Amino acid sequence: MLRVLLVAAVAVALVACAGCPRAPQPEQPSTAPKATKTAPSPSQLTVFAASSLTEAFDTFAEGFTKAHPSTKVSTNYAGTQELRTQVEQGARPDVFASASKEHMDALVKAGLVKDAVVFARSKLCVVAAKEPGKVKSLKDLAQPGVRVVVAVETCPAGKYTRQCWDKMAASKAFGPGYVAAVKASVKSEETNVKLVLAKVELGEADAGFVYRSDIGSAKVAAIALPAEVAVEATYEVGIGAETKNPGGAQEFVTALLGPEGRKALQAHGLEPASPPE
Amino acid sequence: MRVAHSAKPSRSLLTALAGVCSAVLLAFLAVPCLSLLLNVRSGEIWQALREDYVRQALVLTLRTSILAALLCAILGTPVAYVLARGSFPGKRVVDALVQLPLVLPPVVSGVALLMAFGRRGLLGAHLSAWGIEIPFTAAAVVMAQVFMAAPFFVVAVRNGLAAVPPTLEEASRTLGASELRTFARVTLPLTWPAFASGLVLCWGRAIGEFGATITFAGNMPGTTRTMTLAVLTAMQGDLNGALVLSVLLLVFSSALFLAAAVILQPLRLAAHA
Repeated sequence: MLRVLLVAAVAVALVACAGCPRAPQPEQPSTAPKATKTAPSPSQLTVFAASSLTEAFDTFAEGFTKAHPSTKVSTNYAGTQELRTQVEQGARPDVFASASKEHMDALVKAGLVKDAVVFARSKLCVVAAKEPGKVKSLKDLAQPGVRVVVAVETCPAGKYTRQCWDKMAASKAFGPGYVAAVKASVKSEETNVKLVLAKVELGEADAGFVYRSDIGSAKVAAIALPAEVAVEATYEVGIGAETKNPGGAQEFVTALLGPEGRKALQAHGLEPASPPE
Repeated sequence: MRVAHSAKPSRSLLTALAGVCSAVLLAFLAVPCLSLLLNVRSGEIWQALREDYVRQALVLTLRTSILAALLCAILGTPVAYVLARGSFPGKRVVDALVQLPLVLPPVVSGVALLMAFGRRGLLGAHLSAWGIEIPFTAAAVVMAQVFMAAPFFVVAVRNGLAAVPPTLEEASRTLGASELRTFARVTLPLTWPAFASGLVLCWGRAIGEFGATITFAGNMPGTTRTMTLAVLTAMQGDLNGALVLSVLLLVFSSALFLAAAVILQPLRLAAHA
């Protein structure tokens, strides 16, 4: 009995070891070119996109699929920093759309994404819960007892939020005291901007910092940031370095930069960047 | 004779099959834990323990999970007793309700808690009128943990109590001992191991709670960011930090179970003697 077990254990261990990679090397993904297989039909196109692009990309992907019936687009939305970790850990999207230059630059530098271009911009704004309506203006954010929710600092929206606070601290209209009060009111750091919006829409938080384009049909009040403290988000799109469908990925990006893309982006409050000439 | 003869090869085949299955499962459980340990140097652990955000998360996790385990024990013991001893209409429903969180996805539990105790929740709206707001507080973390961990305690203790013959308790009562005295002097000494293992399982579950916490309590350093939430947050930018935190949790949870096993061993023997 014992011998049987022992033999079986060794056999399994051998099989397991033969199958497992030597050591995970997150920084150095294999760059060996893979044989491009003939694209299965309908061809698959996996798109990773920042969660703030959800509505715009859903609309755009629907139109794209209509124009390219042989292509099946599947989308994965999350905080850009989460998507970046997924790609660094071996996920292989065909198209990657980032809400910040910083994360895109890192992926391009690591050889995981190529041909990154700016395709859209959006502005940061404050959203407030309509009920109980404690926050009606930016000044109210600094009131005691107000519950503010923001995105975590590694998330692009969280980074832009902190940039906005820095500008507020330096401006005469707000000042460092105001920013300290706002920071003290922060009750949660969510991992993506959609969760910030959800907490405000649910009324759990009184206010949050999100992109103007996120608001969509959410039942919240939007408060614009004055020009001196405004922060603009830059969206970049690139093609997965190991895409098995380079043609499809290129078509997707080209269409996104073209009139259909501009229309979908504008319909959801994003400002299309001028197409590269 | 013939039967015994033909049964022999099929039996050893079965044994071999059982061996292979066990080995596959054991390897599947051990390899990820091992690879986690292999990716972190011990120096990094000590360094991490000096970081403020790690200490904050560790202390918060310990405080909330210990409180949650105690609450489960205080509130769960009567429930377990009633389920083990009582017979009443709707007992099956109570039993199912107690075990519901075992099969409920944690994130669903979090949404449910929000709908009950959130600002506009069923009860939360009334609490809010009294100035009590639970989400985004450490209390919300404890509530999420109790919600998810209570079944582990109740089920373990109920099974332990069910194994004690009611005749022993009856004998004690016949001899003039009060209900409470009988529980303290007869039932409890016989079911200690069940209580202890229920408490350990429940505490372990509370430490590992994630989905309900992040949904109901939010993610704020020092207030609601427990170790598991810190792992997720670190995972999004600092993979190494996430690895170190994961190893800390792995070591801590293993130590907890090991300690429980060591303490429980003599107790079990005593209970059976």
